[in-house]
Amino acid sequence: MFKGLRPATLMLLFIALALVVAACGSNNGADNAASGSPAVSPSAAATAAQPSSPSPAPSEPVTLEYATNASGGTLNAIKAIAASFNAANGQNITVEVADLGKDFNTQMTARMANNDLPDLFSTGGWAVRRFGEYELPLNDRPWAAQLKNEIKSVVTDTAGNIVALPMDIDISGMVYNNALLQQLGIAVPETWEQFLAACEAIKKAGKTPVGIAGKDSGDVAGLIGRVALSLLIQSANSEKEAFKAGSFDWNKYAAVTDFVANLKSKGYLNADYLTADKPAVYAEFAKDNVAFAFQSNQTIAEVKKLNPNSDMSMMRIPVSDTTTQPFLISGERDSIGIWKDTKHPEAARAFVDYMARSENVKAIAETYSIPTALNGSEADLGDLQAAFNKFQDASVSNHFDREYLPNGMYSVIGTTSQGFLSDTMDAAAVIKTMSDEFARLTKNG
Amino acid sequence: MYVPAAVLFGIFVFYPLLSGVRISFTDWNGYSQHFSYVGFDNYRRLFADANIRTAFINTLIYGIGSTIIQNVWGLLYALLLNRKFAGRTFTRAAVYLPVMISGLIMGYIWYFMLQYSAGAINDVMTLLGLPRVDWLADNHRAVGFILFITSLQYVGQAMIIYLAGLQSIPQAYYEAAQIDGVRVWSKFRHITLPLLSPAIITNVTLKLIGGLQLFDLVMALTAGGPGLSTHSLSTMINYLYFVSQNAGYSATLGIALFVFIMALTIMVNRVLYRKEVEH
Repeated sequence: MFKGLRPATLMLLFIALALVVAACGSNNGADNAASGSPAVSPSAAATAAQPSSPSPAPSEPVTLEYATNASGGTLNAIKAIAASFNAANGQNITVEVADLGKDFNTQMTARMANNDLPDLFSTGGWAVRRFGEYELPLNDRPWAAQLKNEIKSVVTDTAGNIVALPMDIDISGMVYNNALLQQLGIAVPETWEQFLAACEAIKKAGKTPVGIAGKDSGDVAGLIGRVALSLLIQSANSEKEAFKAGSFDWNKYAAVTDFVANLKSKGYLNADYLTADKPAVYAEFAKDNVAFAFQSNQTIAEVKKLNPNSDMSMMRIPVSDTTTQPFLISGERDSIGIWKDTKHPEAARAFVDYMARSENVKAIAETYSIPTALNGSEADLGDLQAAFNKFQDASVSNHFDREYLPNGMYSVIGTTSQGFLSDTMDAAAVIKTMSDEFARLTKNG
Repeated sequence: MYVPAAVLFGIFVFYPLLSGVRISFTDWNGYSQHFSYVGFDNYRRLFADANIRTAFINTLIYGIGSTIIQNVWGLLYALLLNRKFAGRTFTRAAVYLPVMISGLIMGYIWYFMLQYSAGAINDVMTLLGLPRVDWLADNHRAVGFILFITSLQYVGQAMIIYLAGLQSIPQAYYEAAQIDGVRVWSKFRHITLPLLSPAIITNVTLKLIGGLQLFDLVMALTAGGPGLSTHSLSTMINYLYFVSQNAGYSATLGIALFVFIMALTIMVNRVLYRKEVEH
């Protein structure tokens, strides 16, 4: 067909073909950006505006894809719930759980880019900021009225739409090795002054005060997020309003870098704080070699697996002045959203409603001993029940990055902090990067 | 005849490349349906970014360093294993075996060996009464380990190509040289090396491209750390897209890497083809 054509002509044909394909395949983001119109399709807008309706059984068999990043016991619980839902629905609706594990973020990013999401997906802490653009509003669901106050705002967007069903609440502070503190006669610290004194005593006893998995930028971000929340938000000189207004003076972030530099220079961090992964930190906790970690309660469950006799617990995050109370962090953990353009919205709603049943929510929350997100369904919190009882009136804040920073800053916190810990970035470079990325990601929305 | 191939090339190579160029002029975050065009901002930023400079230098070390090491090492293996001795086949297989392991697996194996608290090397050092060392905590040492491990893993590939090259050299040349009383080094320099030039070109090109695109080993061994100090340009592209949510800038770096590898490969090939000898 192309016989006799010159290479240059053929190349032009390829370019034309590529341009046609590019034009057909490209999303309309540029047009939207240029016109300033929202990217939500008319059909999605219409769906969102639909009044509350029951979920009738579909006339033809429907298969729903449910992509999740859940692992371990939580994944098993999700699979068991999906299996019981499938059995209850006969051949009408089948939910297939796609266990994406560590590829979840990558795969979901690619699928969002193509506007081709699974019918159902875990929102993994980012129901509003990251996935909000792609989710079906769920305000009309029967369980919406049951949502606990501390999680309802987390899954509600600025337009007032509940965009995901949260099944549990990731309430955490810091974790500590109770056995080690008791052995050394150290009380659980409530201020940073007490915390640093405890670190000094632990170090003198030949143990590691703080364990960090520095290979994992998420773990370092967890440390910085907690410290920043305490020093910049939950303090007498709170910068809360400045963050909300986008006018925070990033030079004040030096309080955070100074704190970390102090931990490092005084030798309070594990020797392999730059290269350890989380399992390495868990192993040291299991051997009673480490006292504190700026991690969630998942650490307690993981250490228990290595040493069933370990005595770990959760503590509130210390504060810098006596006028402020130590506090806990409350955030989203296991939540499920529905793709706004799914071909089977009724079937997807039916499954989400099924997930919201008391016994299912309880089963998922109990896999990591955390409270459920729905009133009327309480989880057995196991060894942590006493800690939760003790802190039931504690001050609670959302995660630093999720509440006060634009989407995408979590990774920036992690990598700048890794750079700072490894001396490949100084405090000034960290502050500049944080400031620049805050501006860029705020602009990108 | 070549229409199917041309269409496939257009869809799977040319279109993605063109899309990459288009994205490189945007501030796209990689998942939203909203973005704006930013002109040449990303390209301007590329030349002033210290992290990109570090990743570029690392990429040169991984690419050019591993090309040199694997070619010298692979040629020495080939010369040795071209001789007849007991256990030759086993040794060839042993040298080639790591090539068949994924770079990711190799990275994790070495991570477990180099780990501070539970690493095999530190366990041995403790047995010998030596203090534990956090091997990957120093960025220069970590880059050195990446270079060494990737060279060790793929040297078998270079060896196989050199072995094929050595076995294709007619014995008549060596016999004639033997009669003329030529020494071993002269035989290597004036017969073996020139006649191996097709194998050298193949190996240099393959190793250069492979080394400059190094990804999986870095991800498994250091994940680009400490900080961002051991990233290659490939892992930096991944970091910028999926972690930093800066797909526009990531695409810009991808285009720059494509142009760089293409230019370097063409240049190296031109130099080497000029020196090619046929027999």
